[in-house]
Amino acid sequence: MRFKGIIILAICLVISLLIVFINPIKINNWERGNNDNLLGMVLGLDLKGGTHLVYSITSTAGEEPTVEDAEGVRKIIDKRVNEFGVSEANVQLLGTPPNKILVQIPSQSGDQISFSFSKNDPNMDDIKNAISSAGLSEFQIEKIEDEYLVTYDQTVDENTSEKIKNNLANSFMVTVMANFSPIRLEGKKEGEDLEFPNVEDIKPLLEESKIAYEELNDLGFGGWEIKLLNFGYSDQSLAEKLLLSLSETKYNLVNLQPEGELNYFVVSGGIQSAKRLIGSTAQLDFRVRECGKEKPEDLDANVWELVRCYDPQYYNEVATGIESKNLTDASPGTVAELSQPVVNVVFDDVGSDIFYEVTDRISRTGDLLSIYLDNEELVSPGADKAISGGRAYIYGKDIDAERAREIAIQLRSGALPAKLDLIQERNVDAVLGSESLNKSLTAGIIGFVLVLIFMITYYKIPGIIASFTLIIYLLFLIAIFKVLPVTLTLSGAAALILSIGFAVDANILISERIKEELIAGRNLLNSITVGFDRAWPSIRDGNISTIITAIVLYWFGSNFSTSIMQGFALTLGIGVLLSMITSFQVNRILVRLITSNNNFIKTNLFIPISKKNTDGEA
Amino acid sequence: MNLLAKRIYLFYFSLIAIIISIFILFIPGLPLGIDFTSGSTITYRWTDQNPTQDQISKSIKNAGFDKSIIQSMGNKEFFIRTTDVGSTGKDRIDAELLEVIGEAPVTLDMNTVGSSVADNTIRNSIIAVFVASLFVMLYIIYAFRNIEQSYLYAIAAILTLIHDVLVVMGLFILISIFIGSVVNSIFIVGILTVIGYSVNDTIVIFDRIRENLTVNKSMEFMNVVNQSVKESITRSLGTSITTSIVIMSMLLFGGQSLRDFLLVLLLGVIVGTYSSIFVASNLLLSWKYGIKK
Repeated sequence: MRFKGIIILAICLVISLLIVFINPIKINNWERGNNDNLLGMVLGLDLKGGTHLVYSITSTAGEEPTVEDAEGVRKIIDKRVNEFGVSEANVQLLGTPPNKILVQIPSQSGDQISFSFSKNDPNMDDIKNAISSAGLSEFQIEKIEDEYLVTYDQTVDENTSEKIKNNLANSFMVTVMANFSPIRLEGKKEGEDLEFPNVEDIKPLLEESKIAYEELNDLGFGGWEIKLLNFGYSDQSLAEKLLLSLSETKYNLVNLQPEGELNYFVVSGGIQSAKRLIGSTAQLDFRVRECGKEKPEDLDANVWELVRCYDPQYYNEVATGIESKNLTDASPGTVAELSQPVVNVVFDDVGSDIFYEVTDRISRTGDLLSIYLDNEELVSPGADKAISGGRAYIYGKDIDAERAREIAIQLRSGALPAKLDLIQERNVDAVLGSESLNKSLTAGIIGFVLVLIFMITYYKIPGIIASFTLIIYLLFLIAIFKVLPVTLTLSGAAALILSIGFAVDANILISERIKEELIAGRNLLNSITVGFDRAWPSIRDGNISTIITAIVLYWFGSNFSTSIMQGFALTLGIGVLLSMITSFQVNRILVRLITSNNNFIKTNLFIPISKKNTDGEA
Repeated sequence: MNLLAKRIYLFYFSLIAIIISIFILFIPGLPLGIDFTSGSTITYRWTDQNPTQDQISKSIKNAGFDKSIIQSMGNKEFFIRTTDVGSTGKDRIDAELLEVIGEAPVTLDMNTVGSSVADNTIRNSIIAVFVASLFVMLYIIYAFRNIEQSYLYAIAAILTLIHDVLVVMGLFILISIFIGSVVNSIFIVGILTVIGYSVNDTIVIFDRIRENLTVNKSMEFMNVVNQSVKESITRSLGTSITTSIVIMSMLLFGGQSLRDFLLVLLLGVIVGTYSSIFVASNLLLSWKYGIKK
């Protein structure tokens, strides 16, 4: 009997030790813990930094949302947050019936800025200068293929990111290669009737469009190299601007290629960008783009082909009737017959029918189907035949794998079925989080050691046993927290420490009972058996009242727009339940183990200091 | 020794404590934080510059927020409380701070609570406290179902609990005058924990009374209660000393964020221990003998 208890205890101890100290634990798909955190535990936002956002949900009509609306919002936000690479985000509905949504985003990794230049890459030192002169320090930069990745352990605010963007755009020479086709001069003979534009033709064009250039080189045969400096990054690309200013000349612009232009700049992982992402009531819009039909007199045929479907002044758009809800899926992929990335789209029945009509129409007229997200053009594909069945794919020369993924995400994220308003926000910096963690840890250890000292000096042998029980209790608790897993928050840490108090309490109750039985004149072993039996009802009743409070807190916690309550309640509930069991069972096993050695069967080792004198008198 | 010999004075003492606490609850009242009043708090830290409170106050005013409280936390850290900054206000304050002080601070902690949330928090807090008390009371009636008039034990435990909650709140307000504590959602967590703790302590003593009543059937009720209290007192003190040790070490060495919460817990442990010994059993005796004897 005695050994059975010890064996079970030993097995539990070994398992707990393995769980606590092996990081990470992987068994098939089951994985717990990672090396970054304290003992591999899951840390809450207040201990590792992050953002906690609460939005109220109102239906588009301004009323309380239906349960379906709320669930729809949760799914979409969950998707948005996860697909844009925010790791370990938590999205949950609050309230009964749900009318609020909580989004928690950890900021452990800080922000990441990615950008790339078209050809002509500037050297790394210049890039570093451009970034640090915007006020960023201690960042890491690496180059992956054509893209530069800057990782920063804090959030980059909007001002700084704007500065970095401008610095990058302005510090480097942008070279534009333009090719003009010759014009035929009247009255000249064959062979000498071709003329290319000269400096006097190009210069005024550049000045007129207010584009400052550093150098203008004639490469001969209509080719020109234009070097530009201090050209700010803007959404309208340099190529487009130049195209517009240079195309309306008597010399036809054949092609134009910018080199060294900053053509991509994104700050990701930031709280601000996350907020934008979540709150955006994105609206997908499908329109038929009727390309320009009449070529203006003064435009060259080549240029007309370039602009008739892409310059808003020439085309006209009409609604199709396809709504976001008609698009059931969008995913990046590849198609066997095409050696390039595509975006697969799937429509529902209603969408399929309209999609068939639309593709039938545009395949005959050569028009386009343009898809807008929040009134911003996402992609505008044409169609070569009518597509039935609601399944199609989009491809194009400017759609690479990355772009295909992006388009798919944006198509999928679609429109929210309800309106969101930010009603509560909490941001905790990662630095503050780790400071809090360290301080709580120090405080916890100091408190725990002091308790052990008190227990041992005051209660002697039962105190030592209680101390071991407490250590075993903590070990079990951490193992359980890691396995479940329970997120450790600051208030949870307080609950954990409080539960140590309750565990001590149970141990004290037992020790006191044993002592009383000894004073009452029983022999030691008898006193121990009776002491445990008598202590149990008090331990049970006292702890159950705390467990009831924990349950009420947890239950009500979801009505509050904060996770403090639930974190505290869960930790306290589990802690108290476990302390009740371990302090009783483990204590009993240890007491029996100790009293099996005759050297320890000495009554006065089991009586606390304060009682010595009174005993003498009695 | 008869711990409850002068129980009439203990009675007066608790009564006066309760009356003073209720009075303090109205004037000056609980120092409500943004969880209840709505608004924003921001904690900034500067790396190089050490701004003055005036500079910060000016920046916040420039950003369009007239009412603000600024506290220096030392270490170039400042805590700011103002009205709800909404979605763009924080950016405006940041921009103003950069302009006035010349260095952009790191935002250590930011918290915004809208007014709809605040209203909800007040309502939910009150409901939570009542529901918790109700369930605990039902549990006590159940736990003591085998002895006569078990509801009296439940009522005594609940009255003790109300005593604890009121006195803890009163003491909290008094202390907050000196150290500037505020009441936020976590305060409610603290109060609910105090409820759990208070009842735990009371139950342990009532358990003793229950046990002693069944063992010594012939003994006078007064003596049974007195003996039970005496037997439990070392345990009660032992537990509150150890719990206080951990809470104190959290208060002294832990971070600032939990200070007010830990204060509630510490007060709860002290008051809870006192009341389980002197108030709960006293109430039981009063039922049997009236308050005079």
